[in-house]
Amino acid sequence: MPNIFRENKHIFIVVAAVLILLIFLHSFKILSPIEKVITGALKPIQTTLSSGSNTFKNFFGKFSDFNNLSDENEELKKQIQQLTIENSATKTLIEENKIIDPQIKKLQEKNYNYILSRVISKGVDPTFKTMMINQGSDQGISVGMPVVADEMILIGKIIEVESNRSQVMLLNDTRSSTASQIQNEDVTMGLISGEFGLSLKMELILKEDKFDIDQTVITSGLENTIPKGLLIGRIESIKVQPGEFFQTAYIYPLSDYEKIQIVSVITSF
Amino acid sequence: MRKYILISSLIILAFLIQINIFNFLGSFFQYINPILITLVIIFLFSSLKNTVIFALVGGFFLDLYSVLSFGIYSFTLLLMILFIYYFFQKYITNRSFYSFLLISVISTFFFYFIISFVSVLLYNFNMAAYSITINTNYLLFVLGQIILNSFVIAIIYLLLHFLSDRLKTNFIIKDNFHG
Repeated sequence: MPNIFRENKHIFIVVAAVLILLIFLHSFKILSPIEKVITGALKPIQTTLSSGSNTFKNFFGKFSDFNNLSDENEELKKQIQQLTIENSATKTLIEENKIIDPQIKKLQEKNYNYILSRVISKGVDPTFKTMMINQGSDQGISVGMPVVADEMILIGKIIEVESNRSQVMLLNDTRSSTASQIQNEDVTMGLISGEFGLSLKMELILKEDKFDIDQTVITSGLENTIPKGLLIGRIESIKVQPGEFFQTAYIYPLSDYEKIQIVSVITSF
Repeated sequence: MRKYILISSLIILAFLIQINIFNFLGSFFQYINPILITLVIIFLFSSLKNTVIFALVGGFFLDLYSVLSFGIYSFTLLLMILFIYYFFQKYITNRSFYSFLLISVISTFFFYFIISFVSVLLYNFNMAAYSITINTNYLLFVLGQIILNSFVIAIIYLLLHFLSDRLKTNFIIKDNFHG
């Protein structure tokens, strides 16, 4: 190994200097204008690629479910009819409106201030369940704000903010935790976190609390930045371990985190 | 200069494929790491200096979009290149199919080993807000990446072997050599 260092001394010195300089400049936000230009330039490409990938996945995903082949056949026939009538641009707009309309309606009903955002990419880190959205601190987004999708279903929280983009940690990430409650008589409280990046689990539920499968789980309002009553999911199964003080409920999320394209960040409530 | 722009564009394309296409398409595609594959290919066809420059470009883009500490991807990719360069110089004598496979296995393993190590280290020293969680799922993920990255690199090798003469074995014939 030392020979390699000696032979390529200049390369290593220059690269190490560049790397240290980059880290330094990033830490003191000196690099921000350049980062902003780069990410801003990539944003339209990323948005197009992301929505294209989602459409591709949705289309081919249908082939994998052979159990509902006849239903899907009917669905595909309808889709073909629809596609012949609409052109692709109009269709995209219609689909987006379908997502946005109920979302905005619900947010306005509750009088929440919100910022509509588009998902521009998924996180780059393996095993992290994160996504990047196209709005940032310039639009008033800050760390800890809740992110909702579909009909005001909580999907995650803002964990990192840049001037023109933000990073969202999804609820199914193992590092995420959200104060929640079950809509039952006992108003059972607990903490929701991710389970291997696939599903959700609600922990720290008192053993004497009674609740059933299919009951709805919402945010409890115990966190300053998250309003009470945002939908999270339904109880799928319950695990009670003998000798433990708490029980765990496994939650089926009400929103498909993999297919989300448009979200709203609740800025104040 | 044109070569640098072209290869930098290739790295950016690999980055976009990784975060905007593969990450959206589902779990199977998440086992393929286009940036790592591109870097291994560049390493095997270009000089150490060039590979290091492109590792820095790729790492910078990954760092911009990562929740981990800034610089962790650039550092990991550079260290990985250094390690496979050492390994290549010391133990591998040719650019055969098996050396391609071996380098892809080693690079993927070393990439995830070093990134997990640095991430956990920074987190434990309170220098990072998040860290990679090392559990059975993560190890299976790394194993999946090793297998699929090697598979993709094997396909690329066979394509390149078919299209270019650079990977074909050449013999110097004594008579011809002396004219």
